[in-house]
Amino acid sequence: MTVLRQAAPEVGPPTHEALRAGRVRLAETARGGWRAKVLRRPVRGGWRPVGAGAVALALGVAAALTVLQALTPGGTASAAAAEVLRNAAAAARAEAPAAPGKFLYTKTLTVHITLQTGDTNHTCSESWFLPDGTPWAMRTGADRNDDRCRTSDGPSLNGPSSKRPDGDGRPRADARALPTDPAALRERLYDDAEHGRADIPERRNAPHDFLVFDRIGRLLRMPVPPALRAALYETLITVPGVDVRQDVPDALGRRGTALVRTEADGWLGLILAPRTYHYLGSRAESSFDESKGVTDVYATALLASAPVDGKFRRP
Amino acid sequence: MTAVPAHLDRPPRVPEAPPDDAAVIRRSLDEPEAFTALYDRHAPAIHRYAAQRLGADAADDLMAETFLIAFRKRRDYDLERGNARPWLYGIVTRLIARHRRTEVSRYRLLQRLGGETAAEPVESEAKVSAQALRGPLAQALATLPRAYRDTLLLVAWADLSYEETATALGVPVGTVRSRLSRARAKLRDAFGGIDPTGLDDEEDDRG
Repeated sequence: MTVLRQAAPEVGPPTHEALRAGRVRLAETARGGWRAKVLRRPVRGGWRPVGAGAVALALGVAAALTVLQALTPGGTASAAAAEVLRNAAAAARAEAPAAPGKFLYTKTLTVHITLQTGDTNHTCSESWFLPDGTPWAMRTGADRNDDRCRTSDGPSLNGPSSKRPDGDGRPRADARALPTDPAALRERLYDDAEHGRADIPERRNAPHDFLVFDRIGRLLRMPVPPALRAALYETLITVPGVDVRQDVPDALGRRGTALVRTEADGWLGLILAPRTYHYLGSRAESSFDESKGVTDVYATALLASAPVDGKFRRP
Repeated sequence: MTAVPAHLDRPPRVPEAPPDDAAVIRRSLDEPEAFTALYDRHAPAIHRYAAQRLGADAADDLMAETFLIAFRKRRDYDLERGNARPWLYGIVTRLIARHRRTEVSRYRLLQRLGGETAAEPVESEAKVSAQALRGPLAQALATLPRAYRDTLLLVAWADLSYEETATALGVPVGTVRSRLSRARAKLRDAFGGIDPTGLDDEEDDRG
C-alpha cells in the first residue's frame, strides 16, 4: 500500500477558516443556541381569541424575515437536508392524486407569540382547493380557548381566486401554473423571484434563495398535487443554505424534522413528520431587536387535509 | 516503472485514536456540546480523506456534514467501540458517494496532470514511483466500481485496517478482503501486471 498511499493526490490540511466554520456549525447544532430556549416554551399555554386573521399573521411572518444576509454557507442544501428532501419527494410521489370532482380541504392553525409581552395569538383557517391546486374558498377565524378551530364567524372567500387562501395574498401563484419538472420549476421560481413576481412588494430586495425557500414553504402548506409536491421538495435540494434541524415543534406542539434556512434576523423552518415525511407545519423565530434575541415566534400546523365532496364541506 | 518493496519508506501508521471516543459520545448524550471534542480530534483527517477524493473545496463541506450527521446519529453509536474513526469514515464515504461524478472527473483530471505533479522535491525511491504512478492510478481509480474504490481507499488513504474498513462500510471482513482482491486484479491489469498495492507484503499486519 505504500506506493498507492504516496500516489494519493497531494492535499493540504484544512484551512483555519474551514475548521472553524465546521466547528461553529456543529456547536450551534449541539447547543441549539438562543433558539433552544424558545423551542422549549409551551406553545399551547394561555391561548386566547384575537381579532387578527391569518392574512395578517402570514404577512407578519414575511415581514419578520425581511432578509438580509444568509448565515448558512453552501451552494445547495446540505447533504443531510438533501437526504430528507429526497425521501420526502419519494413519499409525495407515492401519494394518489385527488379524484376529479372532489375538493381538497385543509385546516390550518397559526400561532404568533410575542415573547416580550407573552401575548399569544391563535388563528385558524379552512380552505377548499380544486384537485389541481387552484384555491377556491376560504374561511378564517380566531381559535377558541377550548382548542377547537372555529371559522364560522370569520370572513370567507368564495370562488376561484388568483390569490391563494393561505394568507400571503401573492398573485400569480396558482399551483396549476407551476411545472412539475424540478429543473423547470426551479427556473420558474427563481425567475419569479428575480422579477418580483409572486412576492409581496416590500420584500423584493430579499435574497432570491430566501424568496424561493419561503415560497416553496407556502406552496407546501397547500394541498398541491403529488407531482408538484415532489418537485417542490426536489427543488429545495438545489436551494443554498437549506439545512435540517430535528425535533422542531409546529403550532400544535407536534415535533418533526425541519428544513430550515437561517437568516440574519432569525430562521424559518418547514416541518415534516419524522417517518412519513408528511408536511406538519412551519415555524419561524425572528428578532426585531438584536439585543433581545428572539422576539417573535410564528408557527403553523396543518390540522387536517383531506378530499371532500364540495366546497364548505368538511371531512 | 519501478516496483518498490512495501517495507521501504513506509510512513508511520496514524496512531490509533485514544479509545475514549465512545466516552465523548456518551457524554454528549447529556451534554451535546461535548461532541465538539470528537470534531477537534478527527476533523483534519476526515478533511484530508475527502480532499484526496473530491478536492479541497468539497472537503470543507463534507467535513462539516460528516460531523453534523454523526452528531444526529450519535444515539445509534455502539458505545462498545472506543474508536470512532471507522464510524466517521463510513459517514464521509457515504457522502462522497453522492459526488461520484465529481470524483471520477477529478481522477480524470489527475490522470491528465499525472506527469506534471512531480515538481515537489523527491526524497525517496518510493516517491519517484508514487509520482510516476499518479496518472495511471487516477485513471484506474476512475474506472473501479465504487464499492471496490471505497474499500481500497479506506485502507490505502484513510489507513483503516480491514476490520475497521468492514465496520465503516457495514460489511463483513470477508467482503473487504474479496473487494480488495478484485480491486488489486483490476489495478494490476491497469499497471501492466504490476500490483501497486503491495498487499501481499502488508496483508498480515493490517488484517
